[in-house]
Amino acid sequence: MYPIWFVILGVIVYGLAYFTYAKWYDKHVWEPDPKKPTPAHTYMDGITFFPVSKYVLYGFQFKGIAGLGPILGPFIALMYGWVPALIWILLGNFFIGWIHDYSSLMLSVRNEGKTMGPLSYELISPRARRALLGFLVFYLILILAVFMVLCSLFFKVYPASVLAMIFLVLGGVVSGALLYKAKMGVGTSTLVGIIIIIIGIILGVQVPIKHPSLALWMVFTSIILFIAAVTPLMWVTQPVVYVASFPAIFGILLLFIGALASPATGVRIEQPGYLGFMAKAGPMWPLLTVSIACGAISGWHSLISTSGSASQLDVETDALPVGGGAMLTEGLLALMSLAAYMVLTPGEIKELGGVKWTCLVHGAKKLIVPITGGEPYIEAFYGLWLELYALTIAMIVIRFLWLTFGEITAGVPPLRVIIGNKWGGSIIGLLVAGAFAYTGAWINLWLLFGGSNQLLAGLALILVTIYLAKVKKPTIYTLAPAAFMIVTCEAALLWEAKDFFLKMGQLVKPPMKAGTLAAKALNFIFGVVGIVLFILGLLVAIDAIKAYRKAKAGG
Amino acid sequence: MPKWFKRERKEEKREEEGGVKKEVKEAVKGVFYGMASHGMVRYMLKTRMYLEHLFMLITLGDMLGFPILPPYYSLKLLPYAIPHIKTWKRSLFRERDVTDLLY
Repeated sequence: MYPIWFVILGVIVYGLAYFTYAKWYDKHVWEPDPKKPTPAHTYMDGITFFPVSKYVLYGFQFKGIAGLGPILGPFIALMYGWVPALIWILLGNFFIGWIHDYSSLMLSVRNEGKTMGPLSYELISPRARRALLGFLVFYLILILAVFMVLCSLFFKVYPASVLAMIFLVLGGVVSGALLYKAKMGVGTSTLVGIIIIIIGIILGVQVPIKHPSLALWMVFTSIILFIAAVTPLMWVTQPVVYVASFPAIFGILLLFIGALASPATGVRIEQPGYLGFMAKAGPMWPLLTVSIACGAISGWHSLISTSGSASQLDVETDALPVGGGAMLTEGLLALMSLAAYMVLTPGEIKELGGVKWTCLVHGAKKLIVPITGGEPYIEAFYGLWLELYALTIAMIVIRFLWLTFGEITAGVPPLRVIIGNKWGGSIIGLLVAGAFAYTGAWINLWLLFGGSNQLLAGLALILVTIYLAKVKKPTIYTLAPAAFMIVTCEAALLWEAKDFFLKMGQLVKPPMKAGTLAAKALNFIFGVVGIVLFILGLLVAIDAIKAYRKAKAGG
Repeated sequence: MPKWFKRERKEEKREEEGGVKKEVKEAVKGVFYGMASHGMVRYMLKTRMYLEHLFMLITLGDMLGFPILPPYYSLKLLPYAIPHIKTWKRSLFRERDVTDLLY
């Protein structure tokens, strides 16, 4: 079997989802009216609220949602076989993924462009908003920890990507300086940035920087993140994210071409289809669902839909191609990533040191090198590709984290002085996330992140359901996925917490020594984080059920 | 079929094809711009907004109870501030929290 079939199957299933179920749901439940003014028109300020074309918004939404989740999440398929992963990516997207993104977008559009916080306050309860805020803090710390460790791991495993990454950051900074300080045109400054990145990739292959210590790479990553967090957005974060988007798009396109050309290149799916319900990490349900993360559904998308795209939607009828279309495209990306893992033989996986995220680079290389050649450059490029996704998201998250610290400590001035500012907040955020990341319990950490991420999606779906009940529209299409996601994610969080408590100190791997006091303490903290997330999710769910009943009764 | 009719159909077809081509070109351009640059443009606009809000606060701070500039200068700057009053007020009154700051 060739990887091209994954892509073809995805195109058929997602095409069906879009042109049948999605169109029907859009027409019969939300009934978008192209004449109804959207917040982009009613509140137009040319800054936050302004209408843009559906194509631009589709690109913006896709770029916002397509992070490392759909790219790395399918690694779990190496534990259970590719058939269950394929089924979940296809069906999860068909019944839950697109409906979540699209409905969150429509919910915000129909509520004056409000975001998740004010919406949960209005539709559920003030307590739900506070719980959501608390939930967000843990969620952000987990994202930061996961992406810090991924970035450091990639630096360690792909020495050629170190210089490439340094040059990417440099390219971003130079590009930003040319644009803002030297007042150069966007095209020229972007070109300069891209040239610097290309030089970085070539230099990276020529001068690989090797160091076996993960701790060193974590310090290196933390320094970049700290600089990005405390400097004005326009100096580092924004231009780096901007120039990084070009290699990011190029990497997706290359992967797509590699999968499409697989019958010509002779690259086949080599992994077994099914390996059993139980794996080392735990049972397939709920862990497969939460691990694949954004490939099928993700709570992060509801944040993007409500805080980004909703304020720029030109007409209501654009919501389906923007929200639903972008999510289904992301499903395709997840299928391509799944294919990239699956082309590796069991022997190759063994050679690479077992089931790891880094397997993706080798899979991508196997797909692409027969077409392009230049193996070391493709390896350096895909190492950089993964790092830039991890680093750019971590750059955004660390800023968002200290802003959230500022919000939650607003009522406690002494605490606000310490952690409610960019210096203290960034240091605390990096220290906590760094300590989490350093444990070596990466797969468990990913599952904890996946659980909280999907739970957020379930909560967003329940918000949508309450709104639909209030306006007397059918709710079953969002209520059923919401119930499934909340039960699955709560189960996953409990499973992970149980693992951390019962295998105290055993889940950590090098660089930390298993069984030491520090390892046990960190495992205990992970367990507590899992329980806290579970309780916060439960609190919101209980309040949401009450609000739903009230809305159904016409209250 | 008369020649003129055939010619007209051909022209119509060409126009339609041109329309589709134009639409596809617009779509590709739009998606690429949306993925690569739209976030950056939004950020620049937001930066300008914060600076403009600062300007509004300095000139029209009296409206919020902050007598920052002597009214003489406020009055002189009023023509520059007036076009922004509506947006400024809406932005200040809009309920927001950290989830607004994400994107």
